Amino acid sequence: MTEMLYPFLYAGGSGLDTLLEDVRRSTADKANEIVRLREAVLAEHGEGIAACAARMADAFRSGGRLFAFGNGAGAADAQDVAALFLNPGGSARPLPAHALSSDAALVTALSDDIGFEAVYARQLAAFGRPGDIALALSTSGDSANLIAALREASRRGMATVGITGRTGGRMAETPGPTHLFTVPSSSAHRIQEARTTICHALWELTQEAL
Amino acid sequence: MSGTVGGTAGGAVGGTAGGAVDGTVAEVFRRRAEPGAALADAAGAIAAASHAMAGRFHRGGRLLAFGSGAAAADAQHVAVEFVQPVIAGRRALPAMPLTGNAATLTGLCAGPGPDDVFAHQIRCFGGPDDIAFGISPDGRCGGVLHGLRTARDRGMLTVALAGGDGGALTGALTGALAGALAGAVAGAVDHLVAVPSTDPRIVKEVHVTAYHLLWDLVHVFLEQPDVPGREVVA
Repeated sequence: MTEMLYPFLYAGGSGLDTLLEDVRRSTADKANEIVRLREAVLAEHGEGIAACAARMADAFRSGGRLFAFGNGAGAADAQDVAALFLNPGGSARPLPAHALSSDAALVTALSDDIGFEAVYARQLAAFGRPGDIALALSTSGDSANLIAALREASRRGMATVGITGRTGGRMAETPGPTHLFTVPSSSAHRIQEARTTICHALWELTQEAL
Repeated sequence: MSGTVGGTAGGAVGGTAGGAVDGTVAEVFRRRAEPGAALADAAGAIAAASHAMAGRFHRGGRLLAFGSGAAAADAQHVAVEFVQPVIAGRRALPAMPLTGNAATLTGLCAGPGPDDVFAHQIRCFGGPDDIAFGISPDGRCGGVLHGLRTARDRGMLTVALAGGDGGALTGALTGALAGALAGAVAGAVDHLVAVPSTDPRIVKEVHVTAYHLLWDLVHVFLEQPDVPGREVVA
């Protein structure tokens, strides 16, 4: 795997200086890769992001709340999104948002008693109301617990938003979320980086609309 | 290495229905282009930091990640990257966020205060082989700064992701001054990657790329026999 990613390591005779130089060049390449990926996301999803933010602003205006969730890095990013909406700082308007990954007691209780697939669906069944927003973050789009949560959210009349990578995986299957953003990359890391931008754009445009 | 990125994103969705709003989306994305491309200028700092981090892991050290607000989520994201690698076959490396326990965090904030929230945990967990990984998008977080200083006093490797006043940066990312406090951060750490933007959300996005690259390169160095142990001047 490393050989595929860093063929220069095996080109022979690399001293530390050469290695560091190769690493610097590879780092610069990847920095430029994410810049190009953001341009592709804008071209593909610019309109959809604007429409989604308008929908989110409508939901907040009507008393709706945002519930964000994901696994692994997606769980951390869900907490970031919730913190941004709830406590944006400056003159921005605080909005009700909660990350379903933030309570380890609840997540482990649900995993232990029912199963991991239920950790977010069950919370939405308890917290969710019509007019709320469910935001699912998954690089593959295949996480069973996120699919289950989006279905639960739809059943409850919530707006559903999904951010994934590649082709969108199972999340892209009908009926998919109200708003689905697939980041056109095969790298989980680049997908996460572009996803962070999409979340920030949704926040900024929601603030502007309110 | 290329910094020529501006301008292409702007008109990408022009002319579509709801053009006024779409124009705003394009503007939001356009603001990302320059700071994102500028990360390429920090490639040397990232290479040096990852090499030094690999050396600490090689010696059995652990990474302690910390930040406040949005950066607390980044600390947890960083720890997940190291402990549960996204690329199959890469080994788990010991990394802990100092932000995961609400009881600890609120207890420390209510007791000694927010400036001690990470320093206290570093005094309890940190040893000289460990890595302190502090994240502060505006370079002004007292908790992060005290954490890094405490770590440095204990002989830990200190790495910081910061950002702030681009005016003071003049395009040079590494070891540069990014506003008053980022300057203090620069003095408190061995390795600094500072993003030239005053928008904390843009800085955060570039930080995510930076720590993905650092994780990746730590493994590149660890997989090179005898490279992690060698010293290098940043």
